[in-house]
Amino acid sequence: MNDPARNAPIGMLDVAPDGTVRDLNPAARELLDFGGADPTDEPIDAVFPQSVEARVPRFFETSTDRERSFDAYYPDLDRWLDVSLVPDGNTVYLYLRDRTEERRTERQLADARGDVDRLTVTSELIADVLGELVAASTRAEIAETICAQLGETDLYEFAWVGERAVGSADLVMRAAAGADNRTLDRIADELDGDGRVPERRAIESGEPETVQSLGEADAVPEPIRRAAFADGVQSLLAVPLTDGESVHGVVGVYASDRDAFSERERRNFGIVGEMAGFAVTAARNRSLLSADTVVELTFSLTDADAPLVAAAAETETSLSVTGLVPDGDRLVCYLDAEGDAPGAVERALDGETVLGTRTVADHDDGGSFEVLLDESTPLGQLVGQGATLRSATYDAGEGRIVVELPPEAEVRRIADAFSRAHDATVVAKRERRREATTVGEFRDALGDRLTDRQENALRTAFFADYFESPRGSTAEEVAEALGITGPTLLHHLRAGQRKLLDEFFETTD
Amino acid sequence: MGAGTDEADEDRPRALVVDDEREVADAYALRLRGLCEVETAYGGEDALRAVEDHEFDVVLLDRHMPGLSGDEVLERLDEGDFDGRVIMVTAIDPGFDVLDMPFDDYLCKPVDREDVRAAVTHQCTVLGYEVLGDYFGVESKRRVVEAELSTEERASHEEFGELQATAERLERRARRLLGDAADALDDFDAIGRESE
Repeated sequence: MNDPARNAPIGMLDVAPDGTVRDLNPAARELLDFGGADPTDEPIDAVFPQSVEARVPRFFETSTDRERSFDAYYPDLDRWLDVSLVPDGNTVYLYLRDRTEERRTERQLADARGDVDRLTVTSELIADVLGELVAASTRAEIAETICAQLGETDLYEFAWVGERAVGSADLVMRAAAGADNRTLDRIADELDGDGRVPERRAIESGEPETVQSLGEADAVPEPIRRAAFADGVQSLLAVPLTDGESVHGVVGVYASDRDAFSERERRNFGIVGEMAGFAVTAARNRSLLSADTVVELTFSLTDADAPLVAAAAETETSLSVTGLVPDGDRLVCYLDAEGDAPGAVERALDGETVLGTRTVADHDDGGSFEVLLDESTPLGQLVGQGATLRSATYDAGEGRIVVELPPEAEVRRIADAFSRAHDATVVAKRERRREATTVGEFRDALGDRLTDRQENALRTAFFADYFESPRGSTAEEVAEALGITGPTLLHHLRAGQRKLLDEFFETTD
Repeated sequence: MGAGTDEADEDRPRALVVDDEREVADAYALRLRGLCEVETAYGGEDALRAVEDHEFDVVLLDRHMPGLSGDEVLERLDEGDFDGRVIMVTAIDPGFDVLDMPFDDYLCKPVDREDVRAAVTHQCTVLGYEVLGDYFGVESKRRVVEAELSTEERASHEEFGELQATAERLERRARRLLGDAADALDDFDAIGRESE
């Protein structure tokens, strides 16, 4: 081999057509990792490194008269070589160039292109989810929208949405989409059991969390880890559905690729979680607003055993209930009587279910009583079923009782049970909106009732810590502040407090 | 895709190494040289084509490949009539047994020479005994049919022809999978045929 060949920057071997190595330059010696070994006079298939296709030895086994060029990977060298076999008369020149660097760069470029493509696709996907979320109006729709979009793309294996019940840590699977697999089955099992699903951490932290290698994640229950490994589901992105401080639920997105969720994707999905959380809040509020419709039932009660019906009939007096306070297994009931002397009404109120009576006020044409009724009385039974009493009046052997039931109550069952237990029929049923009173409305209404002096007295006494215990100021001190006498202050305070409580308890006079 | 050139590989088990990283696939292929006849496929689609074209005893399947993943290839193999064994090459080793896994074994990357050879040998042995069992079943049936037919009848008898071909195919496969351990075959052959 001449000097230019010996000093060439590429590897060069001089091989006989029968495959015997005659000579090689230092570059070839280095590329082929010969080290101190001397390959000269050895057959090429014994000294040339192995590759899967073994094209160099095959060249010498077959015809050596045509030039050949190829790239090959040599695992033992961990090197890609560009090999050229050039026959020249009684010699075959074998040229070698290291292509490892280029090959690896190409691969990195392809990987990076793949990453960019994936990010583009996920960004579009996220935009789609956000767009659809805007249109979703119920919680079921929100969950299904997210699942359908994330579970059915080729990017991910499956997705599920878990929702938390209000005031509870328990998760309920609201929707799931994607490949049928055992991982999802095991997650469902875990929700029925201890609920230690891999999404827990995201719910606790309120931040999107990733698990890169489910099979090896010790915190994940083994049945789920095994299933994930069997299914080839490797990574998880858990996105909490958040609205401010509250976490309504979580989306679990599962992928086969360990690196499916980059930091950027984690952030982008965080936005999906916030948007969905906001949507869940909105949906909940909508259904709470609709819960403001209540069912109002009016009963006609002609049961002679009912103490109030009986007392009204016996004394030919109109009775009306002005207030009702459930107190354990009895009711404290306040009644106004019109007509006969109150003493007669009080005497007429007897029987096992009347636990006590007391006259509160006594006038010529009537009075007010306090009556303690057993829970087995008609009023007791209705209140026990969750009904709110609107009014109850008793006249000439008949009672009219108007109650409100919340929308989720089983109206028919309650009405039937009441009619069966007592001599009663439903005479009216209607749905109406419950009046929601805002703080502002309450203040306005109260302001209309209080005189300026009453409001001043209350405000001053309040800020003077007169209502604290122990009192911050005495009545005399507050009175002095206002330039009035003590008895006058107490008079204003009592009047103001009564109006305040009237408005609060919605009693009308 | 490269075919092994070693003539002696013809009588050895056939393995297919599937990995989208050519360097990895080629490295495993060389590690299996001398143990089995090895082919390589550099992607899921390539792997399915290779299995359609040739009979393989063991497939070493890289789990995470772009395009068709290892799990998807496995699913397609299960749907088709592939009857070899599958060793999944995974990125992690959770230390699970493979009892209820959809694959027959798994190896965690990077796989060294001794591990991959041991895993392939083990699967070949398991498959070999399975094939041997099938062979005994078919061969017994073939002998029963053979005993009922005259030499002339055998030549034109369809069922006998099929049994004969299946038995030969199974015997060849069991021998290449079990190597020396296929002695049971010689013992079975030594049992005199009922008709003779």
